[in-house]
Amino acid sequence: MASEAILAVLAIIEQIIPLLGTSAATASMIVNIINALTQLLPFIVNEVSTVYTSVKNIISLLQNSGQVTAEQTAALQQLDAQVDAAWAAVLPQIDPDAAGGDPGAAHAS
Amino acid sequence: MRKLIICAIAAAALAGCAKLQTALDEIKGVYTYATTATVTSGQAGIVANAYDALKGTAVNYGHYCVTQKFPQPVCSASNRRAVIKAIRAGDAARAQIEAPITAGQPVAATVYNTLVAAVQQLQAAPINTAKVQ
Repeated sequence: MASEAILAVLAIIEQIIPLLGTSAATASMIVNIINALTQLLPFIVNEVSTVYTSVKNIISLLQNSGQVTAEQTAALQQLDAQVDAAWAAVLPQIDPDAAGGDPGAAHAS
Repeated sequence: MRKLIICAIAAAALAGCAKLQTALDEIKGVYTYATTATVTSGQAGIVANAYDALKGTAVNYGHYCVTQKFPQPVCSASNRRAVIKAIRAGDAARAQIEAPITAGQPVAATVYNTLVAAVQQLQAAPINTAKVQ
């Protein structure tokens, strides 16, 4: 349920980004989106395997918009790294060579 | 003179074919190893984008395996091992390739080739067969 709610918010953000344009309001809108992503981060980290692609798409769209400042780029890179780190933390859940043994072994038989 | 013109047209057509083949390879997702010491940031960017897309699919694959309780053979240990190995190698290469791409600098072929190998391994893995419910 939480992942569905986060996905809904992320989907709206993804739809807004192409409409940002180049007006003076664009800069504050980008700041707001970055702030929203930062505030959502704990939930994104919890549901990273579900929302990973959406978050990465948003970060990529903003980075390629040509409207972000150096400071915003740094913030986006930090968010990007945190999402990747969250995914890296999830990897042991599917790693057959994980320290705790193969997590899929119990289901394989 | 006429033969010369025909030869020139044929040569131009062949060169066009080579470019077309390269473009077709990119569309089909065929990425080849570099044989030179460096590659351009443009070439590296294409493979980096392909890796990013495949990694997204690999994340979905991992989610599918966990939520669907590791259905076989898609989520077999060997398949998961191959995906994880490709992601770990790919992540390391992708991180190294980012700065030269942003700066428009040439990228070392060893790093580029590592990323190409990761892309090829992910393309060969069954990550596209997993459908997240």
